[in-house]
Amino acid sequence: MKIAVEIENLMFFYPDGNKALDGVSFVVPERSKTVILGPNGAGKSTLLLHLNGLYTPNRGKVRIFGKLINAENIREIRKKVGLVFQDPDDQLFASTIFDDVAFGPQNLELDKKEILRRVEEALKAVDMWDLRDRPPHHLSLGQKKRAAIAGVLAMEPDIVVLDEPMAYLDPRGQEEITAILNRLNNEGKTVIVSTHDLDWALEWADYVVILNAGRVMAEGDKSILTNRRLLEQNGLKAPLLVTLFEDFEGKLGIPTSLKEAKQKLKKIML
Amino acid sequence: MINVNTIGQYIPGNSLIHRLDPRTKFFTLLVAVFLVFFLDNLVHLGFLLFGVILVTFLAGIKPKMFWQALKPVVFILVLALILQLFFTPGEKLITIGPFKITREGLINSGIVFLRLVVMLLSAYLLTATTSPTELTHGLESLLKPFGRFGLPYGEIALMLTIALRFIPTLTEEAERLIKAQESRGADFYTRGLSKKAQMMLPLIIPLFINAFKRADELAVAMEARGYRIGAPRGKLKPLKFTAKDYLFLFLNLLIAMLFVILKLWGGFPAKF
Amino acid sequence: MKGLDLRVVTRGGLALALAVVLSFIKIWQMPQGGSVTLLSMLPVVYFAYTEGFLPGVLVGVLYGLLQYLIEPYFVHPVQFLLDYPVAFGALGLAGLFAKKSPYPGVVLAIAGRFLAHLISGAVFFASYAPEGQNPWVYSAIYNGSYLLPELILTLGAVYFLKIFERLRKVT
Repeated sequence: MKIAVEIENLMFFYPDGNKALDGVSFVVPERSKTVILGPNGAGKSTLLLHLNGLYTPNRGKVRIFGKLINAENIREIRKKVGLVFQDPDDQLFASTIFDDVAFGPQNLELDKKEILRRVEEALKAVDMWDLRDRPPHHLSLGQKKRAAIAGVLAMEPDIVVLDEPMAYLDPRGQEEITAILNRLNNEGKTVIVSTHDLDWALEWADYVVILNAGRVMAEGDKSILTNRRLLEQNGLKAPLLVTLFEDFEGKLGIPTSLKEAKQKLKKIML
Repeated sequence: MINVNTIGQYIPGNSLIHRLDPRTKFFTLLVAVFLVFFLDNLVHLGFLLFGVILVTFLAGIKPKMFWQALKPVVFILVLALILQLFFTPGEKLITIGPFKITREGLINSGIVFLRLVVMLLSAYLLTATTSPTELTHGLESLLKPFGRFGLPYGEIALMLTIALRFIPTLTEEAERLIKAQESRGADFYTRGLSKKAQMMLPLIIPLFINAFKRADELAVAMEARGYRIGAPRGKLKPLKFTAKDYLFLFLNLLIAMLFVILKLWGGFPAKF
Repeated sequence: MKGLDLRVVTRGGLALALAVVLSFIKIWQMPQGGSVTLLSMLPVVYFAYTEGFLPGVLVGVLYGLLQYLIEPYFVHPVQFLLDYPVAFGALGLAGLFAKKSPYPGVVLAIAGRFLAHLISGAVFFASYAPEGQNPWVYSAIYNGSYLLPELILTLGAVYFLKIFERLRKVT
């Protein structure tokens, strides 16, 4: 297994002296669908800002594909790691979606042809090409989120990091974003998502990190999402599937996706 | 709901004037302003007004919108006319009670009227045919030469872009806050000034805090996409003068020259 | 001023947007056009207070240009300069007291704006009205009628709401 992100004993204090991250260590496998879970205030957003060097750790190390982030390679790192913010209004600033997506490639000093190619590709990847001339404030939240993702894709990163991409979206918006994330992963990108939606995480993730009070409480494949005690100790609620199947664990085991659950049920019904 | 196109006087369109480079329009306005104060002859100013009306017509702006532009200054316009008409000393024409209208007063008020109207209209034409975004690009490009003296023209343009982008967002936020307070019984339509100010208090703190927080987050998000102040960037849509811009600029200079000659020569109804 | 910090640029942008939005909220409309707004000068004044004089003047000038887009009034080039870039640029004067007591900055900023409008009124009269009138008094009354309440409101917000302290705490 190759490693995309490696974090070692990361400490971070807020300017007011409060501890945000207290010795965080974990790895993210390359080409994985990694979910970072934790209750509000666990330090998820702060952690994500370390992944492309927007925050500098007070102590500890962040490595991207084995390279330690430092002042010299920060531009390279930001090309490799794209970060999508939770509130798209924090990210979309230009007068049209097109201009906004072009912003990143322009910062890379690409030539005009290459900028245009990247913008078109990124907007088509999130199905926003037809809305490219719209100003951001004329879009729905789901559309804004997709535009913000396009803005990051145009940088052609190997790792895409999204902070709470599902927050406030309606079911259809959530489905659209999930489909985009899957497509990115199929193209070979490592996708890292922070969330506290465990049902979604169980369905989507293949690697899970649980964060609470600035520390990593568990890390591994998604079978850790079936551990009710671990989840509840860390301010999280067990996924619906786990709650449903745990009484029959001896007979059926606990499924880790809807599809698996259906198969198990079919087997005993038929 | 407010959007960028409704905050200014901009009237979206696709006329020849709309499609001119914003710098061409800035320059044309400068020429018009120069002529307004250079010319001091009723007939010459009349020609100038005719020219401006012609451009207004070319821009596809209806007289109704025109009136919209003049409305806020009607008070000033009327005041200036009355003062000129009744208080200019000279050869008496008509006497109404204590007031005398003189020949000079009549001519002066005509000149004042024409000057004001030409001035207001040509300034209105710039903002009516150029979107705020284009104005920003135009301003950036006009300020560029001052970059060597330390003027941060790129940052200025970026600031304006951000401002225009977030005016609708913050308006929505303010409306949401007003609704939230109204649902708890606040009355924003009360008459008293101090009472009204009191009602507004719950809006102020969240609006200010959200705006400045958002600014800091925006800076982080821009850094995340590799932006660094002052660093070279790939060019996408540089402003470009086209044939119609050169033609328009040429016409500008030609007309300005004709007017200058007209005045210096002193001919063609010289007695006004 | 070369090489403004990116954070200063985004703050300037948001301060401008907030100022424009607040200028739409009119709490009192004068018959001749002046109006008392909901603290619309405060974002720029606060920006000048935290970022200093020159950035403050710059953002003030830009605010003046945006105000021109919203309510254009152009009868003379000098009047235009005084009423928009100069009057609003004067709000940057608050930056002279950057990070000290906020009150002298607020007063100076609004007094500066008043002065610019006052002179502009006189310029207008000088170029469009016959001689022999005293325009200064009229101009002072007109501009004072909305700027004085605006000054009181702004000072009140700074004093009672502790707006500067609260903002500095969170950002």
